[in-house]
Amino acid sequence: MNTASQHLVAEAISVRFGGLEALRAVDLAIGPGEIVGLIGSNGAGKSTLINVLSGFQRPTAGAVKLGDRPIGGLSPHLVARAGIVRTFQAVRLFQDLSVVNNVAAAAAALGGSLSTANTLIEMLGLSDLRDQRAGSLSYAHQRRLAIARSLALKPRFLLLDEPAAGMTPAEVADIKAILLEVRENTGTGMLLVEHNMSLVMSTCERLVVLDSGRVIARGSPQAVRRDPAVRASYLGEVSGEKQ
Amino acid sequence: MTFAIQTLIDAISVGALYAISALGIGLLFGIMRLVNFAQSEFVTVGVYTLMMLANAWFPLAALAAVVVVVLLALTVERLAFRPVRNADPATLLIASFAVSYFLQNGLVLLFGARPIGFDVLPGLGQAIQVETVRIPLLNIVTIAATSTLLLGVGLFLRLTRTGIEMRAAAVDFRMARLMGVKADRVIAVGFGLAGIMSAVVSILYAAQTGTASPAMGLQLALVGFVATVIGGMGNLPGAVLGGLAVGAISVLLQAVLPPDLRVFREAFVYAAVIAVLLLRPQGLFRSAAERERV
Amino acid sequence: MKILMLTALAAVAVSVLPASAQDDAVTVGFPLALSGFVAPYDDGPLKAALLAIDDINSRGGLLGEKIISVESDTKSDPAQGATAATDVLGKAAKMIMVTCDFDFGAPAALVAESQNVIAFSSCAADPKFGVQGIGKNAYTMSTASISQGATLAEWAHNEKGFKTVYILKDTMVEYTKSVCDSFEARWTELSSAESIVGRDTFHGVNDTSIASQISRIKANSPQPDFVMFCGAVNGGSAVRQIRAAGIDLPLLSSESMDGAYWLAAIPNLSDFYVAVYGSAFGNDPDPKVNDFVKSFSAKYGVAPVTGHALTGYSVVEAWAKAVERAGTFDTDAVRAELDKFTAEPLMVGKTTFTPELHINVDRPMLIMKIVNGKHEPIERFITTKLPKVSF
Ligand SMILES: Nc1ncnc2c1ncn2[C@@H]1O[C@H](COP(=O)(O)OP(=O)(O)OP(=O)(O)O)[C@@H](O)[C@H]1O
Ligand SMILES: [Mg+2]
Repeated sequence: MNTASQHLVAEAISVRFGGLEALRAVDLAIGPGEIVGLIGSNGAGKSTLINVLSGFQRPTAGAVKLGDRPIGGLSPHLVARAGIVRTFQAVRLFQDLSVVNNVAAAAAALGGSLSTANTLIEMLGLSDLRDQRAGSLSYAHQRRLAIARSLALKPRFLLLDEPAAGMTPAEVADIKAILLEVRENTGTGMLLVEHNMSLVMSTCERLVVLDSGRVIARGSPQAVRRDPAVRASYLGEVSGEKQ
Repeated sequence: MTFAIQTLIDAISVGALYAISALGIGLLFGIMRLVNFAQSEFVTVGVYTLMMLANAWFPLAALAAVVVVVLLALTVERLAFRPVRNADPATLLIASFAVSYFLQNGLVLLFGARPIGFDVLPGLGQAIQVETVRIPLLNIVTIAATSTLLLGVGLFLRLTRTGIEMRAAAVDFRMARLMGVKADRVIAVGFGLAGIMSAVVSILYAAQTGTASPAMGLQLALVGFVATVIGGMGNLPGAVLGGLAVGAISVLLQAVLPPDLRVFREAFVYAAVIAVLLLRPQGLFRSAAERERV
Repeated sequence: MKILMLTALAAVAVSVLPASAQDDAVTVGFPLALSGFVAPYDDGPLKAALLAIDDINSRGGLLGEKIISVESDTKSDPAQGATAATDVLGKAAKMIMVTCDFDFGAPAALVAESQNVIAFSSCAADPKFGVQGIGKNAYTMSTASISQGATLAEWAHNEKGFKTVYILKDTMVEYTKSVCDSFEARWTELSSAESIVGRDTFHGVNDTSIASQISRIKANSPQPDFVMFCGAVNGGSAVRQIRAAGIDLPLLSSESMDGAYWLAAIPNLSDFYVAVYGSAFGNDPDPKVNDFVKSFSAKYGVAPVTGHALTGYSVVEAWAKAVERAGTFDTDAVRAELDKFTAEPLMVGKTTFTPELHINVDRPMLIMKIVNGKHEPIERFITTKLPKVSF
């Protein structure tokens, strides 16, 4: 296997919703063990791109490949089986199930055991909440559980849609540590969609910036931070919002 | 006093039968948003199987009923529901009516529409006398069998891998699929379980009525559906409680309503259901907060 | 050319003539439930009617013409009743026999009415099945449900000497409600309202259990002398539950509980009384009925399931008598003869029709007693005070 065959690649993806062009010829590649940040203002098309990569949204044009294998036409559960696992902005846990069973349900599918599930919830710092109903967890804990559940599928690529939304700085720091640890232990590549700039800037090797469905900048966090177009369209706006 | 205790026992044993029906309906509804009205025929076919084997050794007849009903459930899933699995709930509902209609008419063709009397488990006609209260063995067996079954299914759903997958699928089927849960397997197991539960209902029902008639399962499926609504869609313990509640309420209403109003007992039960839907659309046995985020 | 024209003429001639009309045959039509949920209730009367046709044909037919039958399936659907009637009337049926139930039989009878053809229901027991509910050509061979209830009340009171009663009524169909209500009316006249120690209802199909009804019966102290049980479909299930609960009181019921098909649910059932048209078990006090059961069994390999078969036999019998007296198949003439029937001895019993009343209210029913799972005839009995018929 050459290096290219292990990348998750989106080539010239366009998505149209009637008159609205949610994505316009977007290219993106994530390598194994790489954490790529995807940022942009509300409605920029970030979730749409995750939807495309995970099989939830058929692109109007363009192709998604895992290495050389086109996976664009696969339904979501087959994409997941191929190793590309996502989380949702709206979390979508199995509300009625306990914390451990949320993970176990996913682990079971891969023939994983309950101890796999236990290891994962420990890794995500949820051991104390092991037998709580998922629906009763705090928002931050729900987001952690969603990550634990996704990891049960042993993903090659993890697509995280705003995993730190609504978290305190301390919780954000925990999430960061967890993501780095996962990457360290498993070599999972990640696409991190986040509005929390400090998390994105300190975790990602590369950033891609979307604006109205178009990539307006890409590169290292430092480079992107200095990019005048980005400052104009997004970062300024965010810092303005946050302060 | 005696009447009150007797009524309470009646309420529990009728409710217990409804609870299993509700669990079968609730399970499949949770997994695939299917209100499986064909479950009425699962029960009916079980009763006809027992009728045909009324003279055989009972454990054999009971086993045959379980095997026949489970096979029927799996066949129905494979032939009727799998092709429309991804259709909207309305289409699924219509499919289930079609299956129900087809099976019912098949029974009419094979056995005629006239009810057929038969005798299984005549020993259950006996009763235990406690003070002035007479508890029929059948009630005790019904309560014991349903509790065992509910416990068994509950443990299965809680402790086994497949069970956990099924519960996950019942909460959010698409998400479960995404998390690697295999749809075919979970649905087939769901139908198999519904089949086992229907078969147990059919055995208890046959012992109670001694009658096989083609439409006899309908009411059970209907109550099962109502119970699922009351309990909260996709909430399995809720469905069981809902079944108990509907059974108990209808027995209690029959017991306390004046004669002229008893005819409208069903209307009262359904009015209660509508009230539940209006006041607590999330079901009686699920708190509003739990549903908010979905 | 000439040949061609002749052929064309012949074709026209053939198409003008009703399809199955033969010069020397008269047709009786059976738009009945041959399949579906109501089929069991039409099956016996139909077979018996065909037997009656055989009997008449073997004696040389009717007015010198052979009777032939045509059947059409309503599929137990009231809406299909009209279609089935149109079907058999299109085949020149001079009389039709319709389903043993007002709701299922009326649509076919209405079609016959519109074509001025006589329509008999075998055993619809609702007085509406007649002049008032359908039209002057509609008859039913049943004994009215109101007479059945009153008859059971009077028999229980006068012949059995019962003093107190508990009334258990199936509310699923009009028939059982009517039997129980007329029972109650007559019983109250003969005894008192207080002698009815309790009453309750159940639904023959929707009630998966009648546990609470049973607990209510048991709560009576002292227990009533008997239970008036107005049950029908799945009545066997209710009786099984009643007996299993240890209630060994005598149970009285009407012809909807006729037949032995449900008895296996209650092995060795005893003390169960049922008022029927006649015994389907070969032990009727009237030897004519036993001969009927014999020839029925000979023709079909099994005895009739219930005594309702007798009504079907008598539909053909009655119509044939009226035709013979009228000397024509003409509907108006035949109807005039039918309306003169006064205690006409038919297979089903003495039958009376008047221009106003096309249902029997004063025909005795055979009271049978089930002892150890076997039907034994007791006597034919009819209430002495005929109920007021309302439509
Ligand atoms: N199914 C859909 N049908 C129509 N329009 C859609 C659909 N999904 C998304 N859109 C639109 O596409 C655009 C991109 O939406 P998307 O959800 O991808 O934005 P986002 O970058 O994830 O925003 P946010 O930061 O708010 O989550 C928005 O204008 C949105 O309204
Ligand atoms: Mg988004």
